[in-house]
Amino acid sequence: MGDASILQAVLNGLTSSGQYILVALGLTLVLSIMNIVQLAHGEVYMIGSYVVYYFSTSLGLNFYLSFIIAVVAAGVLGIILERYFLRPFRARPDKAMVLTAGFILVFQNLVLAIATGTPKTYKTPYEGAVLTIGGSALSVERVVIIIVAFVLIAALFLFIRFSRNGQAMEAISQEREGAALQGISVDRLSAIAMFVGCALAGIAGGLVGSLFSLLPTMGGTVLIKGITIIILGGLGSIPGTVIGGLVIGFLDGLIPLFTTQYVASLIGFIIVILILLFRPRGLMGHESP
Amino acid sequence: MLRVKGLTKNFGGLKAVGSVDLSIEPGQLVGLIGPNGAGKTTFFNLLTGYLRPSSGKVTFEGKNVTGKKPHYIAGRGMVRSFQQNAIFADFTALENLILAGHIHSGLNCWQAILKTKTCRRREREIYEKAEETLELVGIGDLANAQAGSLAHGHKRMLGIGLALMCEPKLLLLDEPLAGMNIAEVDDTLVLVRRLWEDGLTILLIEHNMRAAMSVCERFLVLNFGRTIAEGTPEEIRSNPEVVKAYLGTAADAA
Amino acid sequence: MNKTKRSRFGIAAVFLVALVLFGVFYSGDYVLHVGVLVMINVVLASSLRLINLSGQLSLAHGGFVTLGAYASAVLLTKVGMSSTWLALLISAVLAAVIAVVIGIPFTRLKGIYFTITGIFFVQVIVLTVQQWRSITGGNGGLQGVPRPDSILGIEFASKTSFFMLAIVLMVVSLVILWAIERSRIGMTFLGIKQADSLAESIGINTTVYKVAAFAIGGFFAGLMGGFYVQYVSAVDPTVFGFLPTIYMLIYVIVGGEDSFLGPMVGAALLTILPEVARPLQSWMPLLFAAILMVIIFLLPEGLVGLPHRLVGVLKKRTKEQPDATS
Repeated sequence: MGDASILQAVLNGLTSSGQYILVALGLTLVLSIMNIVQLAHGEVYMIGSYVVYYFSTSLGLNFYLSFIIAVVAAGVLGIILERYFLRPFRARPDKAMVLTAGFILVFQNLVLAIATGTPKTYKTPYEGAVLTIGGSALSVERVVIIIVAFVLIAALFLFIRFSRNGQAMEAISQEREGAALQGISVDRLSAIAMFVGCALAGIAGGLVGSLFSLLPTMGGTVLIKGITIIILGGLGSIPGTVIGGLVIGFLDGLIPLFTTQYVASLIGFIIVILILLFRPRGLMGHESP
Repeated sequence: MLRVKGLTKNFGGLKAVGSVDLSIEPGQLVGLIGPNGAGKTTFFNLLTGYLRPSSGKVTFEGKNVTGKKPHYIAGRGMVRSFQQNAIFADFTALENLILAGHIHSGLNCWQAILKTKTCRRREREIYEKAEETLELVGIGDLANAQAGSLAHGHKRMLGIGLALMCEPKLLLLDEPLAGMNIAEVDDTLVLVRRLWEDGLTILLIEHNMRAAMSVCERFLVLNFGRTIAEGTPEEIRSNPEVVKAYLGTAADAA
Repeated sequence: MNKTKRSRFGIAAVFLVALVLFGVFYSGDYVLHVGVLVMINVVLASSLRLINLSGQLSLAHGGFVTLGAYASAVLLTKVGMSSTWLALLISAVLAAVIAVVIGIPFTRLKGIYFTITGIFFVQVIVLTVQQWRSITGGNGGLQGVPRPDSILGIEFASKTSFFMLAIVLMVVSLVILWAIERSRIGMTFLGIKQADSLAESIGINTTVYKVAAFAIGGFFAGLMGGFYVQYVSAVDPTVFGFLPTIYMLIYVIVGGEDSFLGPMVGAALLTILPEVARPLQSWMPLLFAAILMVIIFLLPEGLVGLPHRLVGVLKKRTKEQPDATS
């Protein structure tokens, strides 16, 4: 293995990390504001991919436009889900989670019915382009994913730190009742959390869909990776999610070089068990479950 | 009976309870008082296994119970009541006490599932004891009422009943008078005094100073997690530290 | 025994007799097959509900069924065990043991965090099964699992024989689950569900009880897995994976999670529905989700609460009549 392979491996690791972090951020936002794990989060990611596919390949629309449509669609879907399905069960997170399990069935079934189960693919306009750095060819697609992911992470961080809504969200995630008493609108912030969370999932799906083939069931593994990351990084912590995402992303990118994808998943599971046993609040979490 | 030495609890940088000592002999009725946030409930949680102490030792009847699980400590005879979520809301009052009665029933699971003769006899005994306890705490006529729909005062009495079903050697009451009206306060104090006169050792957290003064024979006063005074009601009343602590907060001092 | 208990037992007995007579006299293979599936799902849903009784929403159930199924399949095809009944027992016990092993760390977690660990568990089981090709046949699964050994001279070849065997297994399972629920153990589970900390303060070792609920549920899940595999003679990794686990949860909630009868109603209805509505087969997941949402929003106590609701509506109607005329 030479330098080129190592760079390639790092690139793959960063790409996976970027994708996973976007998904995990969405999960952790919703978890900290609404106290549930949105089980259909992987399906929103999947829908993001399929919307891009549909508009860009079936309808022949420009990729960038399709992408924007996908992200907006995902975000709007999030708002609808929150307003009509999750808000009535704010006091019963267990029931709300069961509802999100129902969403999984709905989304998978709808996509399967509309698009069928044959794997789909789509291309980005910059597919095949390479960036040559230090003698190795890095796929532009992967670089774009990495850049977009980390720009968004920074944007989200700034939003939480400096915007009024963001600070309110931070307040709620720390202390739900106290924040609500201060007149912070949990309704509005839940809607924002779901909008942003689902949009992030849609972005991840839209970007990464060009690398792999699309299946209606592709959301499942993504959800599991997302949950692994937020447990590892610490529930409700954005920096934790980033670090967790880097760890899991690199594990996923590097382990298969030595053994199999299965071992990577198994290691993820073991990490979750160990964290929950010995440090339940994760690397940087606020509270333990 | 109870020996607490140097019990401390740190939350990050905050010292919620700082090196508190306490000794209780059998048959005593001790009051734990102090302004809001003094660490009284934290202290209870440390004693009864709901919080792990950062340091210190708790010995109950000669056995070290520091940091043990709550069910173990309750099983050894140190039983507490709660201020909130003090009862099983979906059970009837009677069912609440029946569940609590199983702690010392000595039944194993096979007997329970197969409803053997021993099991049925024991369950009959628990049933009767539950009825008696309901009478004792004054809600005998509410036996079949759903616990969650009881009035606040009755809920707290039921909570005490739960603790009593566990045959406590040391009863820890967490602000039993909170949220009660005058009649209920009187009833509760009567009950506490009666339990004490019957030989039960009691440690009582209470915010209502006048009530606490009227029953407790000894006090431990906490402020900011530390012991600031210890002694008889007279000693406490005239202790300048105690007065200062309470004047600094909006407490309903006698 | 008081009157309600006697009438309840009476109804159950009548139903059971009817079921047995049906199996004896009816010989349509298809309906008998669906009947077997219904009974398997009834046990799966009821055992899942037992875990729910202790306040834990488990999404791990499919993992235990898969475990039991593969345990039986591997023991009977690869290891060459000769007694199918022993294999069946081992399937159930193995599932229970694994439930204890993962239950001890996992039951410490509250609410939704316990639930999501179940998702991991199912995934790990499915992945392991897919990976361990030499033993489990990988994605293709295992075939040629033998039918149950004959017992008392009864051969298990016809659908009728399996139908009767299913009845026996279901009745035994339900009796055990019922006995546990109405004992003080069941009461303890309910107490833990309502107020975990309070239960601890009255001497209940909540961890032991939660793990026990998980293990008992796992036992019956493994048992059904083993039975299923000996019934259809084959197994593959996804037949009891994440989606079927969600279905089991839907059976419980649609039927009514607060009632012993609930899971049975939910399982029966939702197993029969796809068979009856054949043309809509590909829309089943969506239909199930829709039914789930209707129940959660409009009839949270589940279908078993429907008669009570209807009676309430009727009562209101008859009360309003006199006012309307004045």
